[in-house]
Amino acid sequence: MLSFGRAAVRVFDLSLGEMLWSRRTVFMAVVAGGPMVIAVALRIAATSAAVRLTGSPGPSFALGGPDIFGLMIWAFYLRFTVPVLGVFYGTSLIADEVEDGTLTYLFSRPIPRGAILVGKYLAYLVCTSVVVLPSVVVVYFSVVPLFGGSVGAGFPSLVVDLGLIGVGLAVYGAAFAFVGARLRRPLLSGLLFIFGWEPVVVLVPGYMKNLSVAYYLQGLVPHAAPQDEPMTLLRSALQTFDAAPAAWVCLLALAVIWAVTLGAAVLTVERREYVLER
Amino acid sequence: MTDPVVAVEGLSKWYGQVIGLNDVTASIPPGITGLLGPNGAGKSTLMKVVTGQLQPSQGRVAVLGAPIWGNPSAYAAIGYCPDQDAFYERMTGLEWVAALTRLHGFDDDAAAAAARKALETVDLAEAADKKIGAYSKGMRQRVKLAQAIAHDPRLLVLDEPLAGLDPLGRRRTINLIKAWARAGKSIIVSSHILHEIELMTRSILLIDHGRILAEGNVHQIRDLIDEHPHKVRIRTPVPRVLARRLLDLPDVIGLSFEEDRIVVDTGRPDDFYSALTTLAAEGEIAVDEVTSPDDSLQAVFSYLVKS
Amino acid sequence: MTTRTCCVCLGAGGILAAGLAGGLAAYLQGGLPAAAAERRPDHFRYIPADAHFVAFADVRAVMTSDLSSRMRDRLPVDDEPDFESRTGIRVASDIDEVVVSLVPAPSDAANLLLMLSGRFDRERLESLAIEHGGAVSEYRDHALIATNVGDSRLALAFVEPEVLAVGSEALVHDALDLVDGGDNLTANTRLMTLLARVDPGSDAWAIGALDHPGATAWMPQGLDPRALRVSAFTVAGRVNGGIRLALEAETPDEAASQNLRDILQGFIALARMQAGAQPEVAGILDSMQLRATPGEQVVHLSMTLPPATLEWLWDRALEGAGAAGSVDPELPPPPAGPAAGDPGGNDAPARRQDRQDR
Repeated sequence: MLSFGRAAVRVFDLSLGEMLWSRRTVFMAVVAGGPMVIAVALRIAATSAAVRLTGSPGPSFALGGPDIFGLMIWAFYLRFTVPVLGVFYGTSLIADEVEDGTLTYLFSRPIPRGAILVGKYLAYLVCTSVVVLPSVVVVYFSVVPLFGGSVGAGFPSLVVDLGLIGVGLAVYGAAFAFVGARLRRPLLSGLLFIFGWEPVVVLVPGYMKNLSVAYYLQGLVPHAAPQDEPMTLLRSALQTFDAAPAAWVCLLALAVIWAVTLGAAVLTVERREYVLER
Repeated sequence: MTDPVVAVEGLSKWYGQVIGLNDVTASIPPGITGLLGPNGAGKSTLMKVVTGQLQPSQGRVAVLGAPIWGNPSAYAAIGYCPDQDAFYERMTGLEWVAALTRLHGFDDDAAAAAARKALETVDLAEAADKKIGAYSKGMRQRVKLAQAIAHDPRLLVLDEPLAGLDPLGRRRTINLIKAWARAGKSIIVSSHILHEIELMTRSILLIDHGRILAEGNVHQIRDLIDEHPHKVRIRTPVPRVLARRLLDLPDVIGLSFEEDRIVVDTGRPDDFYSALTTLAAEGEIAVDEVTSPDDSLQAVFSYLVKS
Repeated sequence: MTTRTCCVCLGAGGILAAGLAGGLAAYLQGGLPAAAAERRPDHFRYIPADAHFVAFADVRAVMTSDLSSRMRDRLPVDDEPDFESRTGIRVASDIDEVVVSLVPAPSDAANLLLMLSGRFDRERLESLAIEHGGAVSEYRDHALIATNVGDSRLALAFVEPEVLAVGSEALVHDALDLVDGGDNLTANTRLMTLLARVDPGSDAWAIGALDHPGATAWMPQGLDPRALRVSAFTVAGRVNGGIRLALEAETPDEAASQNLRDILQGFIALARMQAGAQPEVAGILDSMQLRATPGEQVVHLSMTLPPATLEWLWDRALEGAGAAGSVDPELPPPPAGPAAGDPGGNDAPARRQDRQDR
């Protein structure tokens, strides 16, 4: 019988292609391609002087390239792409196999069931990284040089951002792998979590924000999170401007969330009985 | 006395309020054992419990002498062909069978060789590099069989392996199953068609409503079933041409049309199936699919239950 | 894994690797150290390593900006002999860059050095200095003109033909000493680290380390940032039609950072309430972004001052200056509004044109 690790690697090998060439990847390409299109459009607009830095009429100021990149990382990737991909892929790791009726073929092999989940989770990580991380690189090189930005000076920030997106995909993926292994309708629960729970608790004072992934990811973002008028007013009204926790606290918290949820997902798959309805 | 390959004792399985298996006790010997019962009788549930897919709610199950639930190492000796028509459609037959074989610990080359051999065994060598999504119904059934035998298991559990096959495919598959049995494998095969089971084995388990109704010789069951008209549904692109030919057969009692299908009533199903296979083998009339509604079998079960 | 899947993974890995390699190469060639160097004017080599405050302005960029043009248009015309006629320096075109540095002094007085690069009428400047009591001497083969101003002794010298050092005599001596080499400002890792954080596209910036005694002695009373426990700061601005400002304040610990954020947050909230219907002020407040960098205890504040707001502020400032200068009771009060600084009657447009021509 294969060891847990070797079994996970072989399941990864089996699942990666299936995952990568699924219809879901088209959706992922659209999600990850959006920022690229915007970045390239910005680049073209800036090159053709459609966006003006000087003179009047028109805006006398545009954000610098690194600022725009920072905002895109925060708004497009960390607050949208990463959690959405985490939900759609994480919840489907086991649920799709159950729905398609193919889980039987994997569960009838002499390998630990947990290895199946871990293998599929690894496939998810590679599959999403293969699409999202190059997209970040393209956005970086398209946007950062705009308006006086320096590609070299921003490089550490690029590395941090890529790492952050990797961490985000890993943590969201693990959390939703657990949701997918445990619940019968995991997608709805996942969407409620990222679009309902997280945006609210991150704003509300108190400790509820500790029960979110976004709070800790936000603490690791080296760029300015948008603080527009409504947000500022809301914070003023709530008399809160909580500082994000220190980086090491965020990393530790994310590591704990990752380990606990992935461990719980593995245990769930090991112990749970999946009844195929087809 | 030979040790049973599967020993089930007081096995019950329920899904919430629904009972799948009810206090089943059985001992399945080596060789081919037919699991016969109408749809929803509990055949698939029993097979899933035996292959470790489902956990018994009550009772004990031992496969090849070892408990099966939560014991993946015991799966190495089992080949399972499930009833659902589910695949990784984008993979080729060879890729799929090889990938599943690798999960048994075979290295890449050995898995590929075993997969190729299994596909040859089920007559899919030529289609090995085609995507499964492009396979016909019969090819899909056969590739399922291939993944079950590729790792050379001692016990094969085949859930409705003949469903949806054309007559030639059925005959070929039945011959394969018999060959595997001759090669020393133990096989549990389920069907709701007595005739199919009878062609493979004399040892059957008759199951209905989650209970074992009868266990042993197929001939007693056959005698009972022959007392009831048997319905056979045939899908063909030329239903009227086929109908004319079928009406010439002495075993056909009645005949009706359902869209592109003909439904035949026969008093002697064995003879009818034999004649139909000969007709299809002549190649003049295409027969795409033969199925048997289990109404007639259900009548036998009702009779057995009452008795 | 199929060949197709493998190709996709390799392709994506290739894009990622190429991006990272390109970024790393750019970083190593023109990255953090070089980025700081880009922002490091040449005259840093004349500034002593123990400076604790440095400010820089790209005068040419500022003076040619749209903002500068608009502000000059709004300037009142006065009859004072202007700076150009006295020094021969046309600020808009003759001065390229200015660097101001402060070095801790034994006394409370600021020890200031001003480095100006550009094109100067040397003889005229030296004559002017001598006219004002300056004494010419020679120091390290350079002419040095020194004079007493109050309790301080100020000096000026050309360290290069196009680089003028003005400031306390000791610092001008230091600048001339450094012509032949020695530890200059670039050896000050504290300030260089702060400089690396400054937006490379800034037209003007200032950085200061406040975490040693005497660092804030020069500041006006009541403006001591140490009261807020600010240990260092950076201010950077981009100037065009408007100004975009980015301020960073470094605090010694999380508590101080939190305290500073609270104060700034409170200030912003208060200003928001006070701003009321004043759209120019509200515009600034709306543009303010306050955030903190965890672990580094750095508080960031950025804001944008749009042209309309700057014009409004400029006019208010000119009005204030006009009111402060109206000591002659016989002079009529200046009219309100944008034309307040235009008391010149019919010949005012001609004078304005004259200023623009210059």
